[in-house]
Amino acid sequence: MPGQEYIKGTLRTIVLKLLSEADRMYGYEITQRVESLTKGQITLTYGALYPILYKLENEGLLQTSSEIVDGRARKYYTLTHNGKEVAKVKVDELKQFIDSLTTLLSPQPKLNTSL
Amino acid sequence: MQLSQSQQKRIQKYLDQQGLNFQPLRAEIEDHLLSDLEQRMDSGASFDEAWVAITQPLAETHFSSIQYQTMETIKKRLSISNFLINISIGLLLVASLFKLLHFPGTTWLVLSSLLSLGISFLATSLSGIRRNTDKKRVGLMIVVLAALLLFWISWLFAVIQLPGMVPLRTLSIFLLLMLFPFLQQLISQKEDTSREMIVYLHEKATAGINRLILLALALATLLKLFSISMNYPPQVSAVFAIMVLIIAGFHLFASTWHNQYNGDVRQHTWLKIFMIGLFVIYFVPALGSVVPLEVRAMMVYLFYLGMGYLVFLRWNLVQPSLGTLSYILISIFLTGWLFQTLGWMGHIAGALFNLPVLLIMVIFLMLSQKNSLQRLLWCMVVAHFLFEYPFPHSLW
Repeated sequence: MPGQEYIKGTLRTIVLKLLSEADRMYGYEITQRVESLTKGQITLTYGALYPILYKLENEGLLQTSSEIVDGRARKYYTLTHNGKEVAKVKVDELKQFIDSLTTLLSPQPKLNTSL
Repeated sequence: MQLSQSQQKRIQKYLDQQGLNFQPLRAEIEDHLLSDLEQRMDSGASFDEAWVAITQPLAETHFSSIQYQTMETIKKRLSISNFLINISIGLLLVASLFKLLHFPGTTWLVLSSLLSLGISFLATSLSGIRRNTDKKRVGLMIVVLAALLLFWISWLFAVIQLPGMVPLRTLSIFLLLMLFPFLQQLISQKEDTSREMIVYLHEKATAGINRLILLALALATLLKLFSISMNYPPQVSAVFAIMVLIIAGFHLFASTWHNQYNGDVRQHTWLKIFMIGLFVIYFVPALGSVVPLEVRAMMVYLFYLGMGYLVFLRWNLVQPSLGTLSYILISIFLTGWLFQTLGWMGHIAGALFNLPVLLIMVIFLMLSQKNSLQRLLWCMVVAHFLFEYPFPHSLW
Protein backbone atom coordinates (compact mmCIF):
# COMPACT_ATOMS: atom_id res chain seq x y z
CA MET A 1 0.00 0.00 0.00
CA PRO A 2 1.46 3.37 -1.00
CA GLY A 3 0.65 5.13 2.30
CA GLN A 4 2.62 2.71 4.51
CA GLU A 5 5.98 4.20 3.59
CA TYR A 6 5.07 7.59 5.06
CA ILE A 7 3.12 6.48 8.12
CA LYS A 8 5.92 6.25 10.70
CA GLY A 9 6.42 9.95 11.41
CA THR A 10 2.71 10.70 11.55
CA LEU A 11 1.44 7.76 13.60
CA ARG A 12 1.55 9.59 16.89
CA THR A 13 -0.60 12.40 15.55
CA ILE A 14 -3.02 9.95 13.91
CA VAL A 15 -3.57 8.14 17.24
CA LEU A 16 -4.03 11.42 19.13
CA LYS A 17 -6.48 12.71 16.50
CA LEU A 18 -8.60 9.54 16.57
CA LEU A 19 -8.72 9.55 20.36
CA SER A 20 -9.68 13.23 20.41
CA GLU A 21 -12.80 12.32 18.44
CA ALA A 22 -13.85 9.44 20.68
CA ASP A 23 -14.50 9.01 24.39
CA ARG A 24 -12.21 6.03 24.53
CA MET A 25 -10.79 3.43 22.13
CA TYR A 26 -8.99 0.08 22.36
CA GLY A 27 -6.11 -1.13 20.21
CA TYR A 28 -8.04 -3.18 17.67
CA GLU A 29 -10.65 -0.43 17.34
CA ILE A 30 -7.93 2.11 16.47
CA THR A 31 -6.53 -0.11 13.69
CA GLN A 32 -10.05 -0.70 12.30
CA ARG A 33 -10.86 3.01 12.37
CA VAL A 34 -7.66 3.91 10.51
CA GLU A 35 -8.33 1.22 7.91
CA SER A 36 -11.92 2.26 7.40
CA LEU A 37 -11.21 6.03 7.20
CA THR A 38 -8.40 5.53 4.69
CA LYS A 39 -10.34 2.83 2.77
CA GLY A 40 -7.58 0.33 3.42
CA GLN A 41 -4.76 2.60 2.21
CA ILE A 42 -3.20 2.69 5.68
CA THR A 43 -3.07 -0.28 8.03
CA LEU A 44 -1.49 -0.15 11.46
CA THR A 45 0.60 -3.16 12.46
CA TYR A 46 0.90 -4.34 16.06
CA GLY A 47 4.53 -3.26 15.98
CA ALA A 48 3.59 0.27 14.96
CA LEU A 49 0.63 0.77 17.26
CA TYR A 50 1.41 -0.64 20.70
CA PRO A 51 4.83 0.94 21.36
CA ILE A 52 3.26 4.31 20.42
CA LEU A 53 0.34 3.77 22.80
CA TYR A 54 2.68 2.92 25.69
CA LYS A 55 4.88 5.88 24.82
CA LEU A 56 1.94 8.30 24.83
CA GLU A 57 0.75 6.85 28.14
CA ASN A 58 4.26 7.24 29.51
CA GLU A 59 4.27 10.90 28.49
CA GLY A 60 1.01 11.46 30.36
CA LEU A 61 -0.99 12.11 27.18
CA LEU A 62 -3.16 9.01 27.56
CA GLN A 63 -4.79 7.28 30.49
CA THR A 64 -6.06 3.74 30.51
CA SER A 65 -8.91 1.76 31.99
CA SER A 66 -9.84 -1.87 31.59
CA GLU A 67 -13.12 -3.67 31.33
CA ILE A 68 -14.26 -7.25 30.85
CA VAL A 69 -15.75 -7.72 27.40
CA ASP A 70 -16.79 -11.17 26.12
CA GLY A 71 -14.97 -12.76 29.05
CA ARG A 72 -11.63 -11.10 28.45
CA ALA A 73 -9.87 -7.98 29.66
CA ARG A 74 -9.99 -5.04 27.28
CA LYS A 75 -7.81 -1.98 27.76
CA TYR A 76 -9.25 1.36 26.71
CA TYR A 77 -7.28 4.53 26.03
CA THR A 78 -8.53 8.07 26.71
CA LEU A 79 -6.79 11.41 26.17
CA THR A 80 -5.79 13.25 29.32
CA HIS A 81 -6.35 17.02 29.53
CA ASN A 82 -2.77 17.56 28.42
CA GLY A 83 -3.26 14.94 25.68
CA LYS A 84 -6.20 16.92 24.25
CA GLU A 85 -4.07 20.07 24.07
CA VAL A 86 -1.16 18.23 22.45
CA ALA A 87 -3.54 16.55 19.97
CA LYS A 88 -4.74 19.96 18.72
CA VAL A 89 -1.21 21.28 18.31
CA LYS A 90 0.05 18.12 16.58
CA VAL A 91 -2.88 17.99 14.15
CA ASP A 92 -2.35 21.66 13.22
CA GLU A 93 1.35 21.06 12.72
CA LEU A 94 0.71 18.05 10.51
CA LYS A 95 -1.85 19.99 8.45
CA GLN A 96 0.69 22.76 7.89
CA PHE A 97 3.26 20.18 6.91
CA ILE A 98 0.83 18.57 4.44
CA ASP A 99 0.09 22.02 2.96
CA SER A 100 3.80 22.59 2.50
CA LEU A 101 4.18 19.19 0.89
CA THR A 102 1.23 19.85 -1.41
CA THR A 103 2.83 23.10 -2.50
CA LEU A 104 6.15 21.35 -2.96
CA LEU A 105 4.69 18.51 -4.98
CA SER A 106 2.35 20.55 -7.19
CA PRO A 107 3.69 21.48 -10.65
CA GLN A 108 5.89 24.55 -10.43
CA PRO A 109 6.87 26.90 -13.26
CA LYS A 110 10.38 26.06 -14.39
CA LEU A 111 13.04 28.38 -13.05
CA ASN A 112 14.97 30.32 -15.58
CA THR A 113 18.53 29.60 -14.53
CA SER A 114 20.22 31.31 -17.45
CA LEU A 115 21.53 34.74 -16.65
CA MET B 1 -18.53 -15.41 17.26
CA GLN B 2 -16.99 -16.74 20.50
CA LEU B 3 -13.91 -18.94 20.11
CA SER B 4 -13.76 -22.45 21.55
CA GLN B 5 -11.46 -23.39 24.46
CA SER B 6 -9.06 -25.24 22.14
CA GLN B 7 -8.88 -22.26 19.78
CA GLN B 8 -8.14 -19.93 22.69
CA LYS B 9 -5.49 -22.36 23.90
CA ARG B 10 -3.89 -22.24 20.46
CA ILE B 11 -3.64 -18.46 20.75
CA GLN B 12 -2.06 -18.74 24.22
CA LYS B 13 0.46 -21.21 22.84
CA TYR B 14 1.27 -18.90 19.93
CA LEU B 15 1.87 -15.98 22.32
CA ASP B 16 4.07 -18.21 24.49
CA GLN B 17 6.09 -19.22 21.43
CA GLN B 18 6.50 -15.57 20.55
CA GLY B 19 7.96 -15.02 24.02
CA LEU B 20 5.31 -12.46 24.92
CA ASN B 21 5.31 -12.66 28.71
CA PHE B 22 4.83 -9.05 29.83
CA GLN B 23 1.26 -9.47 31.05
CA PRO B 24 -0.28 -6.02 30.34
CA LEU B 25 0.93 -6.08 26.73
CA ARG B 26 0.09 -9.76 26.32
CA ALA B 27 -3.51 -9.21 27.47
CA GLU B 28 -3.85 -6.36 24.99
CA ILE B 29 -2.37 -8.28 22.06
CA GLU B 30 -4.53 -11.28 22.95
CA ASP B 31 -7.67 -9.13 22.89
CA HIS B 32 -6.54 -7.64 19.57
CA LEU B 33 -5.93 -11.07 18.02
CA LEU B 34 -9.23 -12.43 19.31
CA SER B 35 -11.20 -9.41 18.07
CA ASP B 36 -9.56 -9.72 14.65
CA LEU B 37 -10.23 -13.47 14.50
CA GLU B 38 -13.85 -13.07 15.57
CA GLN B 39 -14.49 -10.40 12.96
CA ARG B 40 -12.99 -12.48 10.15
CA MET B 41 -14.97 -15.52 11.28
CA ASP B 42 -18.16 -13.44 11.40
CA SER B 43 -17.43 -12.53 7.77
CA GLY B 44 -17.45 -16.22 6.84
CA ALA B 45 -13.82 -17.35 7.25
CA SER B 46 -13.02 -20.53 9.17
CA PHE B 47 -10.83 -20.28 12.26
CA ASP B 48 -7.86 -21.76 10.41
CA GLU B 49 -8.23 -19.39 7.43
CA ALA B 50 -8.52 -16.36 9.73
CA TRP B 51 -5.59 -17.56 11.86
CA VAL B 52 -3.31 -18.02 8.86
CA ALA B 53 -4.29 -14.64 7.40
CA ILE B 54 -3.45 -12.89 10.67
CA THR B 55 -0.30 -14.71 11.73
CA GLN B 56 1.39 -15.46 8.40
CA PRO B 57 2.70 -11.92 7.83
CA LEU B 58 4.13 -11.79 11.36
CA ALA B 59 7.74 -12.78 11.98
CA GLU B 60 8.58 -15.24 14.76
CA THR B 61 9.98 -12.42 16.83
CA HIS B 62 7.30 -9.85 15.98
CA PHE B 63 5.72 -9.68 19.42
CA SER B 64 8.94 -10.11 21.36
CA SER B 65 10.36 -7.09 19.55
CA ILE B 66 7.20 -5.06 20.39
CA GLN B 67 7.64 -6.24 23.97
CA TYR B 68 11.25 -5.07 23.96
CA GLN B 69 10.26 -1.60 22.70
CA THR B 70 7.48 -1.39 25.29
CA MET B 71 9.84 -2.40 28.08
CA GLU B 72 12.30 0.27 26.99
CA THR B 73 9.52 2.86 27.26
CA ILE B 74 8.51 1.66 30.72
CA LYS B 75 12.12 1.62 31.91
CA LYS B 76 12.36 5.34 31.14
CA ARG B 77 9.26 5.93 33.29
CA LEU B 78 10.89 4.26 36.26
CA SER B 79 14.14 6.13 35.90
CA ILE B 80 14.39 7.32 39.55
CA SER B 81 13.72 3.80 40.87
CA ASN B 82 16.21 2.40 38.36
CA PHE B 83 18.75 4.90 39.57
CA LEU B 84 18.25 3.80 43.20
CA ILE B 85 18.38 0.11 42.22
CA ASN B 86 21.62 0.71 40.32
CA ILE B 87 23.04 2.49 43.38
CA SER B 88 22.06 -0.50 45.56
CA ILE B 89 23.69 -3.00 43.21
CA GLY B 90 26.78 -0.80 42.99
CA LEU B 91 27.02 -0.64 46.78
CA LEU B 92 26.61 -4.41 47.06
CA LEU B 93 29.38 -4.89 44.51
CA VAL B 94 31.70 -2.57 46.41
CA ALA B 95 30.78 -4.37 49.64
CA SER B 96 31.66 -7.71 48.01
CA LEU B 97 35.02 -6.36 46.91
CA PHE B 98 35.69 -4.98 50.41
CA LYS B 99 34.85 -8.37 51.89
CA LEU B 100 37.11 -10.20 49.43
CA LEU B 101 39.98 -7.83 50.18
CA HIS B 102 39.27 -7.89 53.94
CA PHE B 103 38.71 -4.11 54.04
CA PRO B 104 36.61 -2.69 56.89
CA GLY B 105 33.12 -1.22 56.39
CA THR B 106 31.50 -4.12 54.51
CA THR B 107 28.56 -4.29 56.89
CA TRP B 108 27.66 -0.63 56.40
CA LEU B 109 27.94 -0.90 52.64
CA VAL B 110 25.59 -3.91 52.57
CA LEU B 111 23.27 -2.06 54.93
CA SER B 112 23.22 1.05 52.72
CA SER B 113 22.55 -1.12 49.69
CA LEU B 114 19.59 -2.91 51.29
CA LEU B 115 18.29 0.44 52.54
CA SER B 116 18.52 1.93 49.07
CA LEU B 117 16.67 -1.08 47.59
CA GLY B 118 13.93 -0.68 50.21
CA ILE B 119 13.58 3.05 49.48
CA SER B 120 13.42 2.35 45.76
CA PHE B 121 10.68 -0.26 46.30
CA LEU B 122 8.74 2.12 48.54
CA ALA B 123 9.11 5.12 46.19
CA THR B 124 8.02 3.10 43.14
CA SER B 125 5.00 1.67 44.95
CA LEU B 126 3.85 5.00 46.42
CA SER B 127 4.23 6.87 43.15
CA GLY B 128 2.32 4.04 41.41
CA ILE B 129 -0.49 4.31 43.97
CA ARG B 130 -0.66 8.08 43.52
CA ARG B 131 -0.73 7.87 39.72
CA ASN B 132 -3.31 5.09 39.39
CA THR B 133 -6.22 6.22 41.48
CA ASP B 134 -8.68 4.22 39.34
CA LYS B 135 -7.27 0.90 40.58
CA LYS B 136 -8.95 -1.00 43.39
CA ARG B 137 -8.00 -1.80 46.97
CA VAL B 138 -5.34 0.79 47.70
CA GLY B 139 -5.62 0.11 51.45
CA LEU B 140 -4.79 -3.55 50.97
CA MET B 141 -1.81 -2.58 48.81
CA ILE B 142 -0.51 -0.34 51.60
CA VAL B 143 -0.87 -3.11 54.22
CA VAL B 144 1.02 -5.58 51.98
CA LEU B 145 3.65 -2.92 51.32
CA ALA B 146 4.09 -2.35 55.07
CA ALA B 147 4.44 -6.10 55.74
CA LEU B 148 7.01 -6.47 52.95
CA LEU B 149 8.99 -3.50 54.22
CA LEU B 150 8.94 -4.91 57.73
CA PHE B 151 10.36 -8.15 56.34
CA TRP B 152 13.04 -6.19 54.49
CA ILE B 153 13.91 -4.19 57.62
CA SER B 154 14.35 -7.46 59.52
CA TRP B 155 17.13 -8.27 57.03
CA LEU B 156 18.73 -4.90 57.76
CA PHE B 157 18.62 -5.79 61.45
CA ALA B 158 20.26 -9.13 60.64
CA VAL B 159 23.10 -7.41 58.78
CA ILE B 160 23.91 -5.08 61.67
CA GLN B 161 23.11 -7.83 64.18
CA LEU B 162 20.55 -5.84 66.15
CA PRO B 163 18.73 -7.80 68.86
CA GLY B 164 15.20 -7.05 67.56
CA MET B 165 15.71 -9.02 64.35
CA VAL B 166 13.93 -12.24 65.39
CA PRO B 167 10.67 -10.65 66.67
CA LEU B 168 10.62 -8.26 63.71
CA ARG B 169 11.00 -11.05 61.17
CA THR B 170 8.52 -13.25 63.00
CA LEU B 171 5.99 -10.42 63.00
CA SER B 172 6.46 -9.66 59.29
CA ILE B 173 6.23 -13.37 58.37
CA PHE B 174 3.12 -13.74 60.50
CA LEU B 175 1.54 -10.70 58.78
CA LEU B 176 2.39 -11.95 55.30
CA LEU B 177 1.15 -15.45 56.10
CA MET B 178 -2.16 -13.94 57.26
CA LEU B 179 -2.44 -11.65 54.24
CA PHE B 180 -1.63 -14.17 51.53
CA PRO B 181 -4.71 -16.45 51.81
CA PHE B 182 -6.91 -13.35 51.87
CA LEU B 183 -5.18 -11.94 48.78
CA GLN B 184 -5.26 -15.28 46.98
CA GLN B 185 -8.98 -15.68 47.69
CA LEU B 186 -9.71 -12.12 46.58
CA ILE B 187 -7.69 -12.27 43.38
CA SER B 188 -8.88 -15.71 42.36
CA GLN B 189 -12.45 -14.34 42.33
CA LYS B 190 -11.57 -11.72 39.72
CA GLU B 191 -11.92 -12.25 36.01
CA ASP B 192 -9.69 -9.27 35.26
CA THR B 193 -6.98 -9.00 37.89
CA SER B 194 -5.25 -6.03 36.26
CA ARG B 195 -7.75 -3.67 37.91
CA GLU B 196 -6.42 -4.63 41.34
CA MET B 197 -3.79 -2.13 42.48
CA ILE B 198 -1.37 -4.78 43.74
CA VAL B 199 -1.46 -6.82 40.51
CA TYR B 200 -1.33 -3.72 38.33
CA LEU B 201 1.73 -2.27 40.08
CA HIS B 202 3.46 -5.63 40.05
CA GLU B 203 2.86 -5.91 36.29
CA LYS B 204 4.34 -2.48 35.73
CA ALA B 205 7.43 -3.27 37.79
CA THR B 206 7.98 -6.71 36.21
CA ALA B 207 10.75 -5.62 33.83
CA GLY B 208 12.77 -3.96 36.60
CA ILE B 209 12.34 -6.87 39.01
CA ASN B 210 13.45 -9.39 36.36
CA ARG B 211 16.53 -7.34 35.62
CA LEU B 212 17.40 -7.09 39.31
CA ILE B 213 17.00 -10.86 39.81
CA LEU B 214 19.18 -11.77 36.83
CA LEU B 215 21.85 -9.28 37.86
CA ALA B 216 21.91 -10.53 41.46
CA LEU B 217 22.08 -14.15 40.25
CA ALA B 218 24.95 -13.38 37.86
CA LEU B 219 26.84 -11.73 40.74
CA ALA B 220 26.10 -14.64 43.09
CA THR B 221 27.47 -17.08 40.49
CA LEU B 222 30.60 -15.06 39.73
CA LEU B 223 31.40 -14.46 43.40
CA LYS B 224 30.81 -18.14 44.19
CA LEU B 225 33.28 -19.11 41.48
CA PHE B 226 35.79 -16.68 42.99
CA SER B 227 35.21 -18.02 46.49
CA ILE B 228 35.75 -21.62 45.30
CA SER B 229 38.74 -21.07 43.05
CA MET B 230 40.55 -18.50 45.24
CA ASN B 231 39.33 -19.59 48.64
CA TYR B 232 37.50 -16.33 49.33
CA PRO B 233 34.75 -16.26 51.99
CA PRO B 234 31.45 -17.63 50.61
CA GLN B 235 29.28 -15.05 52.44
CA VAL B 236 29.64 -12.48 49.65
CA SER B 237 27.91 -14.76 47.17
CA ALA B 238 25.35 -15.86 49.78
CA VAL B 239 24.00 -12.29 50.17
CA PHE B 240 23.12 -12.19 46.46
CA ALA B 241 21.75 -15.76 46.51
CA ILE B 242 19.40 -14.91 49.41
CA MET B 243 18.35 -11.74 47.59
CA VAL B 244 17.40 -13.84 44.53
CA LEU B 245 15.53 -16.39 46.67
CA ILE B 246 13.45 -13.69 48.37
CA ILE B 247 12.72 -11.42 45.41
CA ALA B 248 12.20 -14.23 42.85
CA GLY B 249 9.96 -16.09 45.32
CA PHE B 250 7.62 -13.14 45.90
CA HIS B 251 7.76 -12.27 42.21
CA LEU B 252 6.82 -15.84 41.25
CA PHE B 253 3.75 -15.87 43.50
CA ALA B 254 2.64 -12.43 42.30
CA SER B 255 3.10 -13.51 38.66
CA THR B 256 0.57 -16.31 39.15
CA TRP B 257 -2.08 -13.67 39.93
CA HIS B 258 -2.04 -12.38 36.38
CA ASN B 259 -5.06 -13.23 34.20
CA GLN B 260 -3.12 -15.85 32.26
CA TYR B 261 -2.70 -18.19 35.28
CA ASN B 262 -5.36 -16.84 37.62
CA GLY B 263 -8.05 -18.26 35.30
CA ASP B 264 -6.82 -21.77 36.12
CA VAL B 265 -6.69 -21.05 39.87
CA ARG B 266 -10.19 -19.51 39.70
CA GLN B 267 -11.63 -22.66 38.15
CA HIS B 268 -10.15 -25.09 40.68
CA THR B 269 -10.58 -24.64 44.42
CA TRP B 270 -7.88 -27.24 45.14
CA LEU B 271 -5.40 -25.11 43.15
CA LYS B 272 -6.23 -22.09 45.28
CA ILE B 273 -5.58 -24.08 48.47
CA PHE B 274 -2.46 -25.55 46.87
CA MET B 275 -1.11 -22.03 46.19
CA ILE B 276 -1.73 -20.99 49.80
CA GLY B 277 0.03 -24.14 51.00
CA LEU B 278 2.98 -23.41 48.71
CA PHE B 279 3.28 -19.88 50.11
CA VAL B 280 3.34 -21.21 53.68
CA ILE B 281 6.09 -23.74 52.96
CA TYR B 282 8.05 -21.18 50.94
CA PHE B 283 7.92 -18.59 53.69
CA VAL B 284 8.04 -20.43 57.03
CA PRO B 285 11.71 -21.54 56.54
CA ALA B 286 12.61 -17.81 56.63
CA LEU B 287 11.91 -17.98 60.39
CA GLY B 288 15.30 -19.67 60.65
CA SER B 289 16.30 -21.68 63.68
CA VAL B 290 12.90 -21.10 65.33
CA VAL B 291 11.75 -23.98 63.11
CA PRO B 292 13.75 -27.27 63.33
CA LEU B 293 16.15 -27.85 60.43
CA GLU B 294 14.42 -31.09 59.36
CA VAL B 295 11.07 -29.30 59.04
CA ARG B 296 12.58 -26.39 57.12
CA ALA B 297 14.43 -28.68 54.71
CA MET B 298 11.27 -30.70 54.07
CA MET B 299 9.30 -27.51 53.43
CA VAL B 300 11.88 -26.18 50.95
CA TYR B 301 11.86 -29.55 49.18
CA LEU B 302 8.06 -29.68 48.94
CA PHE B 303 7.90 -26.07 47.77
CA TYR B 304 10.15 -26.74 44.78
CA LEU B 305 8.32 -29.95 43.88
CA GLY B 306 4.88 -28.32 44.22
CA MET B 307 5.73 -25.10 42.42
CA GLY B 308 7.72 -27.10 39.84
CA TYR B 309 4.61 -29.16 39.08
CA LEU B 310 2.61 -25.99 38.31
CA VAL B 311 5.31 -24.14 36.45
CA PHE B 312 7.03 -26.90 34.50
CA LEU B 313 4.13 -29.26 33.90
CA ARG B 314 0.72 -27.61 34.30
CA TRP B 315 1.32 -24.09 32.97
CA ASN B 316 3.83 -24.97 30.30
CA LEU B 317 2.18 -25.08 26.87
CA VAL B 318 5.12 -24.38 24.62
CA GLN B 319 8.09 -26.49 25.69
CA PRO B 320 6.59 -29.61 27.33
CA SER B 321 9.76 -31.71 26.93
CA LEU B 322 11.92 -28.96 28.43
CA GLY B 323 9.42 -28.61 31.29
CA THR B 324 9.38 -32.35 32.03
CA LEU B 325 13.15 -32.58 31.87
CA SER B 326 13.47 -29.53 34.16
CA TYR B 327 11.09 -31.12 36.65
CA ILE B 328 13.01 -34.42 36.65
CA LEU B 329 16.30 -32.58 37.12
CA ILE B 330 15.20 -30.42 40.04
CA SER B 331 13.49 -33.43 41.66
CA ILE B 332 16.70 -35.49 41.51
CA PHE B 333 18.87 -32.61 42.72
CA LEU B 334 16.57 -31.61 45.58
CA THR B 335 15.92 -35.18 46.71
CA GLY B 336 19.69 -35.65 46.93
CA TRP B 337 20.04 -32.34 48.77
CA LEU B 338 17.27 -33.27 51.24
CA PHE B 339 18.82 -36.66 51.95
CA GLN B 340 22.20 -35.03 52.54
CA THR B 341 20.77 -32.30 54.76
CA LEU B 342 18.88 -34.80 56.89
CA GLY B 343 21.84 -37.16 56.96
CA TRP B 344 19.88 -40.00 55.40
CA MET B 345 22.54 -40.81 52.85
CA GLY B 346 26.26 -40.25 52.93
CA HIS B 347 28.83 -39.16 50.36
CA ILE B 348 26.64 -38.10 47.45
CA ALA B 349 27.10 -34.35 47.92
CA GLY B 350 30.05 -34.34 45.52
CA ALA B 351 27.81 -35.68 42.78
CA LEU B 352 25.22 -32.97 43.44
CA PHE B 353 27.35 -29.93 44.14
CA ASN B 354 29.90 -29.44 41.41
CA LEU B 355 30.56 -27.13 38.49
CA PRO B 356 29.06 -29.37 35.74
CA VAL B 357 25.74 -29.48 37.66
CA LEU B 358 25.85 -25.68 38.02
CA LEU B 359 26.52 -25.40 34.28
CA ILE B 360 23.56 -27.67 33.44
CA MET B 361 21.30 -25.56 35.66
CA VAL B 362 22.45 -22.34 34.00
CA ILE B 363 21.80 -23.87 30.55
CA PHE B 364 18.26 -24.80 31.59
CA LEU B 365 17.76 -21.31 32.95
CA MET B 366 18.85 -19.84 29.64
CA LEU B 367 16.57 -22.20 27.69
CA SER B 368 13.61 -21.00 29.79
CA GLN B 369 13.92 -17.36 28.68
CA LYS B 370 10.58 -17.35 26.85
CA ASN B 371 8.58 -18.54 29.86
CA SER B 372 8.76 -16.10 32.77
CA LEU B 373 7.56 -18.53 35.47
CA GLN B 374 10.02 -21.25 34.39
CA ARG B 375 12.83 -18.73 34.30
CA LEU B 376 11.99 -17.50 37.81
CA LEU B 377 11.85 -20.98 39.29
CA TRP B 378 15.16 -21.89 37.67
CA CYS B 379 16.64 -18.67 39.12
CA MET B 380 15.51 -19.84 42.56
CA VAL B 381 16.94 -23.34 42.09
CA VAL B 382 20.29 -21.93 40.92
CA ALA B 383 20.33 -19.49 43.87
CA HIS B 384 19.54 -22.37 46.23
CA PHE B 385 22.40 -24.36 44.69
CA LEU B 386 24.82 -21.42 45.04
CA PHE B 387 23.79 -20.81 48.64
CA GLU B 388 24.49 -24.45 49.58
CA TYR B 389 27.56 -24.96 47.38
CA PRO B 390 30.07 -26.23 48.40
CA PHE B 391 28.06 -28.59 50.57
CA PRO B 392 29.94 -29.69 53.72
CA HIS B 393 30.69 -33.09 52.20
CA SER B 394 31.25 -31.82 48.67
CA LEU B 395 34.19 -33.08 46.63
CA TRP B 396 35.05 -29.42 45.93
